[in-house]
Amino acid sequence: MAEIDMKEGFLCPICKIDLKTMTKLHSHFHEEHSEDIDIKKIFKGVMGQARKMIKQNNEGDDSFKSTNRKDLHNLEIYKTYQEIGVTRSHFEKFKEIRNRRLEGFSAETNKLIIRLDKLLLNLPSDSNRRKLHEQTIVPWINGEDVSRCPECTKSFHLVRWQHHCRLCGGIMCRDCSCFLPIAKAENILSHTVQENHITKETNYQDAFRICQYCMNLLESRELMKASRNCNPFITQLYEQLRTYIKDLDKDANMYQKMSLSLNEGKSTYNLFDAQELWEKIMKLSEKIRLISTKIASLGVNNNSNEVSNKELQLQRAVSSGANGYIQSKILSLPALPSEEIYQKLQENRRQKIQQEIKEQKSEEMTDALLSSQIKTEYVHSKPTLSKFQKNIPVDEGWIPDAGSCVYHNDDPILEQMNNIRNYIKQAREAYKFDEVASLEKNLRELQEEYYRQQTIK
Amino acid sequence: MSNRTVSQRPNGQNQGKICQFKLVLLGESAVGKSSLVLRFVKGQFHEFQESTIGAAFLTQTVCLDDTTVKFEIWDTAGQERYHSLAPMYYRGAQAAIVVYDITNQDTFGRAKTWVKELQRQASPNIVIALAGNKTDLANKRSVEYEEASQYAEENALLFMETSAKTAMNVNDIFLAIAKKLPKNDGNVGNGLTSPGSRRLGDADGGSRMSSGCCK
Repeated sequence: MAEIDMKEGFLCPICKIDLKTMTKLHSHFHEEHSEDIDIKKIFKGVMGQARKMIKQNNEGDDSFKSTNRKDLHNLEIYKTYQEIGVTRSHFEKFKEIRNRRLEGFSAETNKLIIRLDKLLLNLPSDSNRRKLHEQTIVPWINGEDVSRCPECTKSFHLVRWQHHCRLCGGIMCRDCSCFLPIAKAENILSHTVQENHITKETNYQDAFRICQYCMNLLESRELMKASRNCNPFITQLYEQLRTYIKDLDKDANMYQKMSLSLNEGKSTYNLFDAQELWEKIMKLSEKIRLISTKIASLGVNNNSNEVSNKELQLQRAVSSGANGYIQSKILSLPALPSEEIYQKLQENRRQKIQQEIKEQKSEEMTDALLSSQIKTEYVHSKPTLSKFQKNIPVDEGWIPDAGSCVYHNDDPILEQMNNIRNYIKQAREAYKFDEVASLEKNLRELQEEYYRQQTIK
Repeated sequence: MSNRTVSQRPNGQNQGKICQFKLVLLGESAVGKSSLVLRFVKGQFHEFQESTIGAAFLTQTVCLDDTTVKFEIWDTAGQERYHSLAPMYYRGAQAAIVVYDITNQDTFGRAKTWVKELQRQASPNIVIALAGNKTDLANKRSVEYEEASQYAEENALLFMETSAKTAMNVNDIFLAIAKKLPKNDGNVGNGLTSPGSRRLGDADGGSRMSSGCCK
């Protein structure tokens, strides 16, 4: 404690001599140090004082009576990493205090709104009757007790009259009163936010005289209302980003499925379709990248828009998250086989399948025997409806538009083949490759059936 | 590979198995097959639904606990001239809904013959559901609930009376089918492997490809 003596008074910042009076200090400073004002020394002096003050504060603060106060000056402690000690969250207390305050404000505001509503109801146009109407709803403070305007503390006299706030009944002078136009009051009461602002010159006839305090409350409420409905540019961008990511997810899953099946040499999906889907995924990821950079650079380029640190942090987090997502997603996608390799794969698979078919045929025979037994095991059970109600369809289903091109043909099979071709086209356009696979399979069946019929004929 | 993809799915919506099933709708014309699927797939209802040509194809996905069931729905035309197409669609189907109109006794009779045909010629473990449609017209009813219900019980069919117009029991009948369909035999695999139920079909396709693609 005794390391630094306390000095007080008109101290010279450089030589630390107490000069007793202000004028003496000035003259001393100019005479002695005007030539060589060493900034370093001044800085040191100021720092020394600051340290003194901190020490003083520490002594005064009871809650900070720590045992290791001496260690504070021990430089060793700063060199080693210090663990965070016991922490306690004061968030709950903060919330409690804040809520109380907010509740107070909102209660007051609501009171004002109710009064405003009452004031507007059957408002007489005649000024005398209007005054009476206003006073019956909000009792006015007795003017005799108030000699000065509570806002500007100027006294009331012949020229400076007393005026009453129509919402709280309080008193103020003419200069301190605000005017709430009736049209705006109606706007405040309506639940919808109206864009067109009434900026008409206010005269006493179609406005309420209110005090600054009430005006502030009403205006902050209006601001809240407006902010709730506004949709800032960054949210719009973010929503777009989310839809792109959702699309990409869907396509990537589909692509994964397709490439896996193609790499096995299966003919469920078309290699060309998969390539197209890959291009679409690339385009989507490019779009996502564009938006994410746009988000990251929001408000950075034009200095007129002030962007707070927190906002910048958010923007950067969104953009880096999106970029990370793209990278991990794209990297996880397997490559497609080239056409030659795919043909080889197909050939291999065909040979394997030839074998499997033989095995399966024999299995089928035994299956058929078994399944006839299984069938008898089916128990007719009435489904419990309440349980199902929750399980509504998750996806939007897919329907090709049949009406767009209906082919009429004498042969129903030919007709249906045309239908299916049309469906395949639509499914491909909608990137529904599972559907394409099923439809193509059906088309093959139809073709076979058609050839079979033709040959019989 | 597949493990990685599962963990990377961000919304966890597709967790668990994905099963794909072929479902076929059969029944006399104008009983409401197309309306039933349209209600199920799009939640829509058209008072004057045009009659189907050939067979319409729709898909819809439903969630059952941890399984995602994707229905590939073939909505066949009820008109007589298209009956030759029906076998192509119920062949290889894992589920079928046979629809009749509760205000028309003839359509119930036709439904019974469809059920018989399915039992004879479709896949032996096909799940068949019987749907008595148009319950919103209950005042014109000519097929009693008990009659149909008893028939369904005798033949081990799922049975519900539905209304595409009011959406009554529409989702329920599809969900009941989804519940009854077996989901264990190789359908697992995050949809990356082709469903086991389709394995035979694929094999067939492959064999045909070998002869057919060189045409």
